[in-house]
Amino acid sequence: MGEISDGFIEAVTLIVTLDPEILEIAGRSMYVSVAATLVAALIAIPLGALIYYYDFHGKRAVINIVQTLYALPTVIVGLLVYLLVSYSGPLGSLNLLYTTNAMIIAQVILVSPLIVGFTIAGLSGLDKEMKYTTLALNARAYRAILTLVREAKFAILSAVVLAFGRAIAEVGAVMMVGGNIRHFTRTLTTAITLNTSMGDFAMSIALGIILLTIALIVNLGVNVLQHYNGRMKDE
Amino acid sequence: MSEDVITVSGLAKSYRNKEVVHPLDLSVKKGEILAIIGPSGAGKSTLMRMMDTIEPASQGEMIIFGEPVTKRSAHRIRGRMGMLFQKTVLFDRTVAENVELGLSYRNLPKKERKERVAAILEHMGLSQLAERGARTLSGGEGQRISFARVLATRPEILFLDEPTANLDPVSTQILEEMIIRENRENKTTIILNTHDQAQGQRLADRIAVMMDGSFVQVGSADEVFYHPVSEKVAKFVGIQNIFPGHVRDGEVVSSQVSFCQAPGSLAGNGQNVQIMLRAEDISLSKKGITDGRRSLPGVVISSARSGAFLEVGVNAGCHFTVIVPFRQTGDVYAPGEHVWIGWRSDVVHVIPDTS
Repeated sequence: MGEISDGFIEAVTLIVTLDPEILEIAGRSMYVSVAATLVAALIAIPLGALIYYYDFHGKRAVINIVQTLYALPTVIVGLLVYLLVSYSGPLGSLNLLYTTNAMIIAQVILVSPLIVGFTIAGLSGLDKEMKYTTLALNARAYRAILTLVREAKFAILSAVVLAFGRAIAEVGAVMMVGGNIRHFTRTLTTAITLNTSMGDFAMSIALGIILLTIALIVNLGVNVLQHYNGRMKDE
Repeated sequence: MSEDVITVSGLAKSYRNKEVVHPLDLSVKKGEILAIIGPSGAGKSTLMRMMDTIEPASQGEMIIFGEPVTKRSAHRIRGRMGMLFQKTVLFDRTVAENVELGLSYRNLPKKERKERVAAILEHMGLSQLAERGARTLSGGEGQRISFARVLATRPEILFLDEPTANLDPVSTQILEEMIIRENRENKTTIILNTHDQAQGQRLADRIAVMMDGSFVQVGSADEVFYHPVSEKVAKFVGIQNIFPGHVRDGEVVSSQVSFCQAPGSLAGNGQNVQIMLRAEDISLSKKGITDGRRSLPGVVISSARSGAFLEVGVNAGCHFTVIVPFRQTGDVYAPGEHVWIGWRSDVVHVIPDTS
């Protein structure tokens, strides 16, 4: 018990005194996950919008697959990206293994299905007549899609925030492709894993507090967005 | 009334192998107001979306503005048409931005867009709403703004899909006036879906009755309302007195009540017929009716106020429903009272009974 409370006190000290290593790790985590989320959003929002907008054979099946991928095990993503970027893999020449870029790639793969799925769901939550209205006003497909995405912005934004939450909390994939190298690829989650196994609870708790705070802020953000989304529907 | 702006032939729609619109033909002339009336679920909205080219047909052909509708031509043709939906659709922007939407989809220069938005709002008496958030409007205002958004694109053909179904009576009247004005001022062809048969009668030059995915009758308001082709249509257009009968000695008879002389085409003795008589076309009196109408003594079996009218059920051999203006009669018709009912024989509509 004493070890934990001592660890806790030391952790708070580390945070309050802005310990440089902790700042570095938290900053890297933010960088990797923000970058991954933005890249994923750039790919996944248009993709989700296209899947929503067009009727095609197998659409239901595609949506089912996307939803199944929400629960994609992180270690599987890690393995996949590892094989891709390892020195003998197809992207081996890019020297991505054990870099933050490899970690970003892994997180993009991990969270894209989430954004695709929630974009489809958010757009499907709009009135059916809304799509007809854009069509009847003679919008070209891309203009209609832009109008509809803008209309579902709160739902889609909350999907992006949720995706960020999943990205920053993830440990398996970034550990595998990043290697948890100090000053290079160490993130909040990989550092907690390592420090806990080494018995350095103070560091782990300090990093854990930061991670939890980020998670809380994310959750708060999602709540605010969903509140706006709900309010729009009520009006 | 000149050339046809829309000609539809064999147009049909199936969803998952179920045909919701059976192959149908229709022509609409420039400047005409056509009302498609029919119960909910008859396929009216689907038909309308197909004609506005926003939903592909399963089969059939359309010629709009003299041009066959194809995948290639649809976007260009649609640009000259507009559609208003039952459910008011406003985007989360200002009123002016909503009205501008169709114009920006057409890539009009910004200056022209602003001018046209201001002009249409002014024309419709809605300028004061321009900067309001569209989601803050009342139902009636919202639908008027949706209408303004369509009119801003200057459509030559306007599809109105149950435009007033969710509106209160006052808003309905305002929108109906706007619809008529658009038709008169710009010779806009209007195709209106409504389940409100009276609205069809008020607005339309011609009425098509759609049931179960098919047109069952297309004609003038008088034809549809006074000469329905079937019992189903008769019921839908509000004919309350429908009796099975037959022809006997040149007279149309039901339950010993003689309604009128049999029309020439149905003169065969023993021919089974259906007899239709509008409740409003029957007169009701406590004294005898002596002005040459067919008249019968009967007994009041029910009596109920319906707005400014009195709906009286009378047993006179058949069970008749009679509607009279409440104040005009001044009388109270209590159940059990003896009365006379009468009608001119030319208001009786007789069709062969095909069942």
